[in-house]
Amino acid sequence: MKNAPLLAVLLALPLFLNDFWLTQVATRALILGITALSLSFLATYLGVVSFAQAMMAGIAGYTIAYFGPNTVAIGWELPFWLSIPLALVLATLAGALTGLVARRSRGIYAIMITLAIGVAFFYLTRQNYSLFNGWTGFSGVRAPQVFGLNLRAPVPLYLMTLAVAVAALVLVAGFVRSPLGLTIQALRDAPGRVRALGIPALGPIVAAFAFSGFIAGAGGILNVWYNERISSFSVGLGPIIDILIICVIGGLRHPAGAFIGAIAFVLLETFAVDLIDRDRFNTLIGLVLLAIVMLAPNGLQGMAAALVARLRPRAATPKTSI
Amino acid sequence: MPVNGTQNHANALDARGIGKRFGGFWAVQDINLTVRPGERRAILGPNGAGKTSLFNVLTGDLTASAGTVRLFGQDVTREPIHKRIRRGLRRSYQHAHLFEGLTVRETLFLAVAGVQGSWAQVWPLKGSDKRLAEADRLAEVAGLTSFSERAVSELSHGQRRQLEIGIALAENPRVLLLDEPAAGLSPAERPKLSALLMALPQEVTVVLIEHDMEIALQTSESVSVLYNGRMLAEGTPDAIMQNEDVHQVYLGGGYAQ
Amino acid sequence: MTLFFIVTLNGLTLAALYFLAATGFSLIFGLMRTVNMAHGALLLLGGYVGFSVVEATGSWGLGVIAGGLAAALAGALVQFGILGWMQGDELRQTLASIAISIIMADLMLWHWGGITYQVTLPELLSGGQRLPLLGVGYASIRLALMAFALVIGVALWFLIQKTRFGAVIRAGVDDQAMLRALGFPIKRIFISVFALGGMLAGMAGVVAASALSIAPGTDLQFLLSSLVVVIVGGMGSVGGAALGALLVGLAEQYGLAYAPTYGAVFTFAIMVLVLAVRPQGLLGRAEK
Repeated sequence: MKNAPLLAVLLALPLFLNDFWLTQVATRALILGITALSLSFLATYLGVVSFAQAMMAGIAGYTIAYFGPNTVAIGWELPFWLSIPLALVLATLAGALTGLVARRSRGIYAIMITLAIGVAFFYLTRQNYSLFNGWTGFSGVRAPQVFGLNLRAPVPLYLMTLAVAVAALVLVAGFVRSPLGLTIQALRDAPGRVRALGIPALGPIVAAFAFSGFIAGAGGILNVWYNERISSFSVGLGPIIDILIICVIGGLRHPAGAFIGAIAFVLLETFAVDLIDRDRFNTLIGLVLLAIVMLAPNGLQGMAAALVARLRPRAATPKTSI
Repeated sequence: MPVNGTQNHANALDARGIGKRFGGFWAVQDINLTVRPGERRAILGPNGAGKTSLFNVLTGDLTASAGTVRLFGQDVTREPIHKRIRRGLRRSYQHAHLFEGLTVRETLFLAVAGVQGSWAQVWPLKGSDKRLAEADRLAEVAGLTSFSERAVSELSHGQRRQLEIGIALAENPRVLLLDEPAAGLSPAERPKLSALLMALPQEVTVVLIEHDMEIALQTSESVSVLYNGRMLAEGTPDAIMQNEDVHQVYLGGGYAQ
Repeated sequence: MTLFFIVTLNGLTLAALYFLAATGFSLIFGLMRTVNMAHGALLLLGGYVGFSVVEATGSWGLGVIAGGLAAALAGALVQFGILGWMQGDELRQTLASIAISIIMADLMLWHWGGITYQVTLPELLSGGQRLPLLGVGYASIRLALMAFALVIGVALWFLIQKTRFGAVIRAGVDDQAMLRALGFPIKRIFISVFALGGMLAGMAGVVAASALSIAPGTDLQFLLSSLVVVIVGGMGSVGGAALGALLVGLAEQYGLAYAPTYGAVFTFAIMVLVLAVRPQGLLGRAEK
């Protein structure tokens, strides 16, 4: 386990960080990273950039809010051990449906279709009151108490989020080495050729989107506990673009880029106030995105990889292997 | 793959009245092609004769605009390619994309899993998986054993051709369609390919598009010649070499001295 | 019955706006394979500039022209300064245009604030018209908008089918490499088409600010509608944009009138249906 030292440092973080750093920076970066991982998984292994990940995360979040304690008197309360799996199942289904709709689309076509899906969902949450409570959405959402332990308290929330993040990365790493994961990568490289191996393309594409929906759903559940509310703004263009920016900053060619990008994004967001007017954060983030797209298309992770490759010119090129 | 007894007498491949149209242009028209089980057939013809279009219709890469295709007596004209693969049909491509991000071993593994229909497994592969052993066997047949952990993107042109053959041989093919397997190979590599083809089990039906006359005539017992999208002549290699029409359009009169 | 007529007219009004917004988006995509995510921002910019000019001069016509020109200039600058440098790398262009749209939206919010604007209408367009046969009254500006979209549609059709510039665009939509090989100044052509697309968006923005209203968020609304309209109608075709806009505009208004809390689902359902039956769009040509 070459990542063991890093993991040890991450586990020890609550000993060094105060609540602000632990919750607003570390926990938030991990939550954003998990949702972004659902996109970088699709981009890295299926070769599709999807704008529907905020929708998938949002469906899980809304499920938790609707079937959990909230202060808007909509929905009914289920025990958390039922509402959590339900939220994950619905997010996975949302992913599968997105894959079904976008099954024939690649590149920019997939971007357009998934963006249309994501934005349509945003408008639906704004218009609909019976399920989504319109503009205002749900507030007073509480993370569950387990054995008297409040999971929303800074340290438990951080450790739980860390555990989910590690589990998600391990899950992705395992999945891409499974036959289905290999099939998905083969589809990325040569979709026509996959059919000539006797494999219909529809199943693996839907499976890849469903898997990304599952990961996004995990991020969405943590996010609604973290914020303690969810509304149409949680699934609007802002979050849609944030997820993309995180992946682009981190690099779309490797799943770990999602977390690198999330840390950079949260730090930028937290300390932008010191640099510029708080209200102009979007201009700053837009400029950062533009600079990365123009100067370093593979993002921070790509820059780091290129640096490592230059230092060790004889190193083998990274690849997946069985 | 077990051979169904009742279909034993049917032709391996039986195409009737095949036509393929692109817009207003017929790439092939009125083609009849019958291949017995175990037969080795070469398809010749100058560039643009319609050989690859015919292949694409036979395999299901393209749907026929006219005619019917039967595999071992079963009408497969409307079947997509991935279903025909399950019936024992395999093909290699002349200019195909391979899976650049996978290794040779992973590619051959997928070829095996694809035919078996066992690709939908979500848990990681074990080293002891039977399908991996089969992939290693294919790598050996294709002469790629020492490259099996290489990424496909790092293979040379010749190694890619070998991988094409390896993919096509996955899980005991019954009908093998090879589209110019020797294209771009060096003179030293060509005999290896011929030997590989001749070493195939007797019951495997092979249809081969080939520009290299030597390989075509050496490995095949019968020849079909396409010209301008139509069947010009069919017969044994000797008969084809004597055929006046074939001399006119393809051999240019010079080949059979 | 009156409700039905009014809803239909509202649908046609929206369709006319969507058409004006989407044709530019569709032309740019058809010719250059660029998904211009900043299209909605160009539209909003046109609307704001148009509003300011109408306020300053009192002339509505001048406002429409100024809005169109401002967005045309901004579009040309975006292509010349940024997107043109990554021609052929579609994903990068898409991401860059997203960055541009974020920056533009934020700067416009800074300058014009978060309030809703409605352009003051000229005397001629400010009242209503009693429609013959249907027996309902309807706002003159909205009727003028439909006429405007019709005129623009015909003018575009003429430009693309009957002029040399149009012939070059058509050739480029079919085969960009050929255009380059024949020695056409492809960079200049691309910038001109971007300016044309921007102008259409900008004018649509002023018209939208007159017939309806504009505010932050209007950019997103029209970006979404443009996306869906070209997905439904087919990329790179004026006729496709018209058909797509009609379907989406009408569906949205009927949805709003008869199933108010699920209106967005109608737009989405149309898109999914078309993708299932004709992935290249109703009037689009199949991608090879």
